[in-house]
Amino acid sequence: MKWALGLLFVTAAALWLFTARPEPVPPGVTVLRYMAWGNPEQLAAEQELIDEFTRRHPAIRVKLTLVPGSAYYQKLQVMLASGTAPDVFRCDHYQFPAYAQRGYFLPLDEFVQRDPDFRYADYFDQVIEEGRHAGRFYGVNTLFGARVIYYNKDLFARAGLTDPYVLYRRGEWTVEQFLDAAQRLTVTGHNGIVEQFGVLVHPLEVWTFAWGFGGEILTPDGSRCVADQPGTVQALQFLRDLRHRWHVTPTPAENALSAYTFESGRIAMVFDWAGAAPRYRQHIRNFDWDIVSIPSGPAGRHPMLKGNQLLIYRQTRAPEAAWQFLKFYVSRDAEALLCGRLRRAMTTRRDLAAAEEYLRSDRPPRQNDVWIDQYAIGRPLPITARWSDWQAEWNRAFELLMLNRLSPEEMAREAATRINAILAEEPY
Amino acid sequence: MRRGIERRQAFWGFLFITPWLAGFLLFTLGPMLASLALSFCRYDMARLQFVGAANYERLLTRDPLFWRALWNTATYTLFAVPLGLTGSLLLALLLNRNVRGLALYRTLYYLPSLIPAVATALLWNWVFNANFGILNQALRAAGMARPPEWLQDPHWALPALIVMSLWGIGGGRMIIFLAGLQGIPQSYYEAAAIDGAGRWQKFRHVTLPMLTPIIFFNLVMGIIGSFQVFTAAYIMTGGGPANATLFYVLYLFRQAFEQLRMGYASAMAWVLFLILLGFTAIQFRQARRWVYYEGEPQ
Repeated sequence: MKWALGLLFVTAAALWLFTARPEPVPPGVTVLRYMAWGNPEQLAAEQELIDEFTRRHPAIRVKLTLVPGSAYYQKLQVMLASGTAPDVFRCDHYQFPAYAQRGYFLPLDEFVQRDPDFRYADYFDQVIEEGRHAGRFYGVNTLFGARVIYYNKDLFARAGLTDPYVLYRRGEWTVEQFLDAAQRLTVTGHNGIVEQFGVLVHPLEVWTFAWGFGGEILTPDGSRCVADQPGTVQALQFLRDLRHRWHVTPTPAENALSAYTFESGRIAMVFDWAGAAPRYRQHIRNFDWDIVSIPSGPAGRHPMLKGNQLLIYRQTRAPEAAWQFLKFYVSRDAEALLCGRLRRAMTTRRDLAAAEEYLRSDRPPRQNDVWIDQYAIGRPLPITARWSDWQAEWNRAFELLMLNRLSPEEMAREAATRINAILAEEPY
Repeated sequence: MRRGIERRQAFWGFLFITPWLAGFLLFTLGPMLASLALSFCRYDMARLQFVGAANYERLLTRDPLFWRALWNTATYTLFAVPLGLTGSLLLALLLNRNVRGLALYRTLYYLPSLIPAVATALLWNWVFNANFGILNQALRAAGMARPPEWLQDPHWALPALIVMSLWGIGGGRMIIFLAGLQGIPQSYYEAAAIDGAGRWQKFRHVTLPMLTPIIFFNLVMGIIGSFQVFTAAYIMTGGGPANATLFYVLYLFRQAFEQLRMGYASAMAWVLFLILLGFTAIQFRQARRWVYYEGEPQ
């Protein structure tokens, strides 16, 4: 009995000794817990911003928790449900309306009203609009971006093609020109295997092309799927043809395990978000590249816009410190670093968008005026709290279309029927 | 005096199993009961609302993906379990022979099962690669001009995962078979040989009957495990293409942790439990006809 008690005591003492205890916080200092996801480069950027914030606000200490993207929402959801969420956290706009509906966020309207340093007018309208839900303002927008085309300038030059940026500025960057370039930039080897594809298209591009062909996928309020209208069907046809008729984009089988990537120089054009620029900067060494807006279709040019929101947890004990942090994160200095020097996103600020420090760059992307154009022509995705409810149906139908198992008309009809059935149903 | 010793022993016994008991109550029985209660609710981790049997009703009558996932899982089980059992048994028979380097062979065949499931999935992703995968290279070399696109083809993705499941034939199941084989008394084979039995007849009339309790155990466990298949589809196909590999537990996981429909996912879990309970009960009933337990009165 004695030895058992002794063992228990030693174990307890060892646990107490080796258990990490929080650092003591000096009086008057507020600790702010901030959670986000990202790669090591993002971590470095976040830390740089936090260090600068702490320098300016010595009474606030920010504790950053960086969670891998794949596990982020599970962790966040559990923390929110258990009342242990961090004071400030980042949330992709795909999740924002559903979380806002559950009442997890602290409304910011009152902070904005009494803080003369923060003015809605300093930001682009779409940026502010994305942070609103049911008439209240909840989130400042960070890592905001548009879907643009990153292209290999060397491949265009070698193929004797006019640079798409030149065409774009002349107003001649159309889907016809885009297709022509994609066809001429697709190179097949002697063994019949494609050495280089003209373009890499992600399923997300369906929105851009649907809008460009004059169609819609959802009604603006997100309540109904209207993918069976002619413009959308035309866009679906175009996307399928890119793969099966013109074979300028790899099939999933061809591109399994990322056989063709933009970084390797085996893809001439790729659609991607603004946030892809740092990755391309890091990995591309042997060719010149830059960005251009998406091509215009018969109904114009309508790139997608979407950001991530920085939010304050409703139950935070440090709302004022959290607000200071949010405000700093979208300040001119912070965006000059994050969006200018590091190119992790498009700037959300009107003043920075016009500044040389944002537009000028000695490394690609250099055609940074393209980013600014996106605000004039871009459209936000109609993301509602029901977004994830119908995505699986859309993806399945789109997959069958791209596998050539459904015609565009069949796909659009089937997707619309199934999605409308889901949207008509009460959430379960 | 004796009762005092017994009581003290019982006290220590219970004290030692207390951690397990607490773990069982807190992390198994408790969550199970909670999930049963949740299956009658709508719960998105923020709002809880009692909905009666609505989750079950929707699941069984209005959710085509539920049936698709069940169909995929049942098809997978139908092929993966018998193939896996046969493979493990054959391997165990091979490794039960008295040959040089037997320990090395046993180690080599057991090794694949030690590789973590995620690493295995990534490895097989390469094997099934349509362009550069070793499988299609071999098929091309054998004269097939257009081999299947495996994981990217809705018709071939499920068979590919079934083939991949055979990776585990050298694992725990094979060890159990091997232990069973070594437990068969040599005298039975000697008696059969005296009666003029050949190799096949010995296998058919001695080995197989004596192994039936092991086969039965592996069959029950195999079906239960197979209905819970998850990792391969999660890592390699994401349930695609076009839901061709959407397995039951993958769909359940998505409902719970991507859609946050905890009530609905709980109902799915209980439906799966009932399905497995039913299958296991049927197997136990059928077992009386074909499983032979030595020493049991006939």
